[in-house]
Amino acid sequence: MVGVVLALVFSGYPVAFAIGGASVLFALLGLATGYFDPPFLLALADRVFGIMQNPVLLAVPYFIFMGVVLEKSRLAEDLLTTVGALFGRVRGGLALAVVVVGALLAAATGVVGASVVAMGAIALPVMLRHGYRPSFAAGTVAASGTLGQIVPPSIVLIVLGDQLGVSVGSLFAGALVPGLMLAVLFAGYAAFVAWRNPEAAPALPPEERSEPGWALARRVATALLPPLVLILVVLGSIFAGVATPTEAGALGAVGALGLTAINRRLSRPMIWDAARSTASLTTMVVVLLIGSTAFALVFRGLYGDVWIEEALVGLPGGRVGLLVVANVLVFALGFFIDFFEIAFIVVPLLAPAAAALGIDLVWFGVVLGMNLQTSFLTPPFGFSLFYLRGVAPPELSTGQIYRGALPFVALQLIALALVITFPELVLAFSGD
Amino acid sequence: MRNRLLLWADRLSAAVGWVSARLVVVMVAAGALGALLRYVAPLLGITPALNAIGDVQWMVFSAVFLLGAAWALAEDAHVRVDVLYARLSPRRRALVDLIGTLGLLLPFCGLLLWASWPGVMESVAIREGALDAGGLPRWPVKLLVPLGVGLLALQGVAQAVKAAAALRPPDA
Amino acid sequence: GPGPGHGRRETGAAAGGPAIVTRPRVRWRLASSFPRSTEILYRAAEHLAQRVAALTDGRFEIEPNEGGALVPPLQVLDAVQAGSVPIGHTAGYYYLGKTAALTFDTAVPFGMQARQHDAWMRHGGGRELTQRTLDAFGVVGLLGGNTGTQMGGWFRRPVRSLSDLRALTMRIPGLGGRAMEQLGVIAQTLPGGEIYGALERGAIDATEWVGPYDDEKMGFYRVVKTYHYPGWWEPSAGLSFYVNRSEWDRLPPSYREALQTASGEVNAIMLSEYDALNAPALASLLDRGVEAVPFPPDVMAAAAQASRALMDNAADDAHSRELLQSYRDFQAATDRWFNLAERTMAQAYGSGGRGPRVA
Ligand code: NA
Ligand code: NA
Repeated sequence: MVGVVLALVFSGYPVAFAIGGASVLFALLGLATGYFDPPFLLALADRVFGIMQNPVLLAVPYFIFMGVVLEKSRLAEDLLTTVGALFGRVRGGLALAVVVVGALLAAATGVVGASVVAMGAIALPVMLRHGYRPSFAAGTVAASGTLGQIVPPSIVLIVLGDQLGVSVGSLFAGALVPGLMLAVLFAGYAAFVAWRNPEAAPALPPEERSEPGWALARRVATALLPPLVLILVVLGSIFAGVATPTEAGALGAVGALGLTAINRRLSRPMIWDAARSTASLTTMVVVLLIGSTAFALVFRGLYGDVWIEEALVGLPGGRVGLLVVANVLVFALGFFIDFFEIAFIVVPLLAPAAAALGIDLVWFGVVLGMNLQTSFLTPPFGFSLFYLRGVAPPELSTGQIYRGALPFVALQLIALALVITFPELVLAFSGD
Repeated sequence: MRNRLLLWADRLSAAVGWVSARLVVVMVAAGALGALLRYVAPLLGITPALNAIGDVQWMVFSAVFLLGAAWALAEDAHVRVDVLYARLSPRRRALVDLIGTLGLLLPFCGLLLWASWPGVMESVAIREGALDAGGLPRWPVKLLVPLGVGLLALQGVAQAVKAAAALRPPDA
Repeated sequence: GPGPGHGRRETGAAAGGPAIVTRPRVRWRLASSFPRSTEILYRAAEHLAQRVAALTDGRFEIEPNEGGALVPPLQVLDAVQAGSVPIGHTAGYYYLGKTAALTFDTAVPFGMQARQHDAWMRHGGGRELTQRTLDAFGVVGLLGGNTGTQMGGWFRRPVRSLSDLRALTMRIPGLGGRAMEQLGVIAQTLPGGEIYGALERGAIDATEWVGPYDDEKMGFYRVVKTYHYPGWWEPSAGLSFYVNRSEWDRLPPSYREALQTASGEVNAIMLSEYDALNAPALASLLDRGVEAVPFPPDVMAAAAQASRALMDNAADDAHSRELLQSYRDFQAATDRWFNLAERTMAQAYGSGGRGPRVA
């Protein structure tokens, strides 16, 4: 089943329809072998209606629109190159800026599709134009945009909290330090690459940084502050309780238009251009989810969930055994199926065993969350990678995106190992 | 004849794409309005129809991607894993697209149409309404599912015809 | 691996031998509306599955799937109606967008309490009338538990009079929200996962959920200390198992019997479980500094009036009106009896030394 899907995805036909088509294929198989009757497949309609009404997905077009407006008005470029200029001779300044903005966006939204696409629109073209190695630029953007899954608030943590029966508030508190740690690791890696391979993350050209101090200060005031204020207002409105993440996205989109107007770059063609890109990218993200939900339904119809359950029974016991099994399983499944289905299928099986062994479920939840977050970045079937592919210019090859993601997957695994070795990283902050 | 058919399919997709892009702006406006009203309403002592504004958002969101699907296909905006595809000759690519459209896209559209039809008809028949205070009727947005999938399938047929044409050497 | 599933029925008569007819193997998927973390609610489906299996020597298997696993939580009726799943565990009032009549097997604002509701369903014509509603959806309804009287919910500021409700933003879905709106509340719906954060940061002023046991797990007490009662919009909330009609008709009679028996048992167990677990949960909440405060009398009076008008309007077809009439008649009749003995005792406990600490 997995092999067929991989082959179809690699054929180069649009992923959403490759997965959707594969689900038709396996549905026919399921019908022929009597695993289910035709009416079972009618549940696909309910799943599609569910996606339409999913309040969380609403954030996707808002954050995309905000990112696209910042990109098309070239405000994003001003922001990032100003940060680069601030770093002056320091190489990799842009990459650091991307990680920081990525972490901020991550904290603002829990939706990977939104933050990866927004970051891809904002940062990727600028990095490429300034001579960054394409795979490194792609990996940085994909990984930073994915931080939203572990930096609270996050959808993954909400779903995990539900599955584990622990409070979402505790999970958010417990995930904060590991999430920030991950951001620091990413930044450290970017600095390391800039130091070892100057050509992969060049400093800005001399003419862009050899300006007198007062000119730079002026530039900081006009280019850096407004978008930063925008991002802070979006974040602030969430944390101050004015708005939910979805509403903050909508406010951010309007705010981006306002900034563009203040900079006298607003025009009707620009707005419609941004709206077109937003419509197209939103469609790409959601149609992929529809293909994926069809596959998940058929997977369940063929008792794939029960199959995994049976495979889990009788595996080596003990705390270490369970942790190893849990992480290897979640990591492996992450190659092929989306985190939501993993959380539904696997976590209910692991949770009672973990509780019986006296494992703290909040810590266990953060460990699983880190692991699931990694699954967004693992080639070939990583949703962040697909989203970035959708927004990246054609010159950037899919192979480059895959290669660029690998070091960040390794960093994720290091962070995961740290959280497993030092549970205090979670537990010191998650208590009542 | 065939060319006119293709032309009309592309025009139709472009038109729904145009609508879809306009709807993004509606959605942004509704979202920002809802957020502002929720904060301002208690200060002003008014009771705005927040659930209606919320319903507008998800309904317009649904319209954006359901109408956008066919247009995105025409514009080749659905993401591909093109590790191998990028290295193929144009003829080979056309072959992948032809087989993919006939073997994957169209069957998937068929499944979606078949699966959604009964629920949509039921919803229309009973005029499915809102669950919450001041919400909007739900049945019209459900109609968008077969409409969007139908347009996607139509554009799929057009893509298949184009791919088949690209496979044949240019003669007649 | 697992064998073929629902829809496949081996009618195994031992070949050639005497007519030892073994009962057919039936395997059903059950779609619940409830997440696994709502232990009591979700467990009802597991109870049903265990009892049905035990009553049929394991020949009739039911596999519970939590909300969202097969279909989204609020699409369970649609899935059962279409036959995607043969059985679901859900609450009728999730679907009152389809018809207002679907609210009566769950809850009515200022309606009956759990024992009255049960009495109406079993002996007051409620089941027959609600079944007529479900007939239009090709669904057979079975009792699926009751939560008992729910709590009014968590408020950032105590409600001291009716005017405190004006322009207050509250997460409260369904008919309760419509009634609250009549009292000046800005009623909103938020998904379960977003409520805690919205309340913590003040994006909403108040939220309702279920009762002490479920509310404690949501952790609202960490951010808000005022816990109003009662949840007059849900004086009890009855849940149901909905079964696809043609799947039901195809079941051997003894399997239908097993389903009915198990549903009756699950129905009784859920209420007793809530009664047993809400008590310690309430004590624990009070220990954490939560203040349980009754809604003031003017709120209760206005709410009762608004609820009555709301139901008069909501019942907008002949069948809904017939249901409403039956419901109200039964409530009036049993209220007279309940007020006499039960509630007199309750009041006596409340004012005496044995009273609950919340009074
Ligand atoms: Na987040
Ligand atoms: Na993956």
